[in-house]
Amino acid sequence: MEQLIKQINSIYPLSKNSLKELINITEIEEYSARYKLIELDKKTNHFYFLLSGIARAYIISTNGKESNSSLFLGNNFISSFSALINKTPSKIIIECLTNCRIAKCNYSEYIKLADKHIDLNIIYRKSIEYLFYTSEVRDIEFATMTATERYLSVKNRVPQIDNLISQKHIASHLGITSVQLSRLKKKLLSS
Amino acid sequence: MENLFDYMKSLSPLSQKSEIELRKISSKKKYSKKTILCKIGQIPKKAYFIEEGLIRSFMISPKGNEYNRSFFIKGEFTAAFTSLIHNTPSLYTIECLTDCTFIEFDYKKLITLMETYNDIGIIYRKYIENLYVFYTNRNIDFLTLNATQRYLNLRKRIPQIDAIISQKKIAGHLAITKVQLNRIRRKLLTT
Repeated sequence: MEQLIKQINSIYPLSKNSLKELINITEIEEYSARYKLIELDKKTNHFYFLLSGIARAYIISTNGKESNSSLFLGNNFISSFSALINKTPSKIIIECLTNCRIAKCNYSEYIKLADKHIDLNIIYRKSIEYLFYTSEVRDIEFATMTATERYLSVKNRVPQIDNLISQKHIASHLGITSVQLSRLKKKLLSS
Repeated sequence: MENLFDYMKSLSPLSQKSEIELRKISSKKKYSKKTILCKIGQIPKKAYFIEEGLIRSFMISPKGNEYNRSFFIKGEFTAAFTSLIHNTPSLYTIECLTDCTFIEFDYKKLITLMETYNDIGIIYRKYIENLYVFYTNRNIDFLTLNATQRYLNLRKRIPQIDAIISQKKIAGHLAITKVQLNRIRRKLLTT
């Protein structure tokens, strides 16, 4: 909980009362690898904060293949927002790739609090704005950095990543095939 | 201005006092076709509610290719959103594709109101949730729908698009070539 509170305060300082109300509706859970926070075609009423571990969001494309839309490396605000906000079945699947420690919060309860406490509204808004920002950074990275540079950036964030999750997930996150990733890594080792 | 306030009230109730404060910081402006609202590299200061017109955001890649990221239509806001929030140089240029009428806001003043009057904060929160859902659905569509479906979705949203901008720009937005787009359109005409 300490880590979560620290993270919250780094986004926006909450009043003691608002923080207390928020903690009341938040649970810290430990999930093992392969656990799905949000399943395909299921509704959801929760959002999550990834405290430790690695998770991914993926969809099943029309040809039945999995397509990773996001890899969460830590300190991420996660949900299937379309499903959450529109109260519709989720098209996105969110899954733990390693054991994860996650803060889980009920969306409807949160909204009730945010409607009353302006600082909770502000922090939620800033969290969504941050999601926009990371999504845009990712778009720009794809347009301006090579796959090697993007791989090194991921390694920089999570040095052990190659040992924690499979190569196919890393490759998918970089928008390349496993073969291309293998080649890229061999080249790095030899240089 | 009524369109804007009707739109806001459709999201959440707005008190008279809050409406007065919003009106104080907004101004109605008309701009002609080709007006640049925000240039790439400039730090944006304003957000615009579109009463009439069609706007695009675009960037030129290092290779010199034009990339049309988004189109904005009547009843929506347009801005270099993440740059506006972080007060950093815009990554895109925002341009009027037709003559346009806007309600303009100084963003800093808008934030102050949002953080003072919770009803305005709630409206903005709902707006930004919907916007985030729109963008994530669009990214999912890119991975799950074929180009024809994405073109039809675009036409559904902006029926007059083919008349307003060149096929080259539309193709770029859909991440296909002009040749592919031509083929799609011919096929649609025959069905």
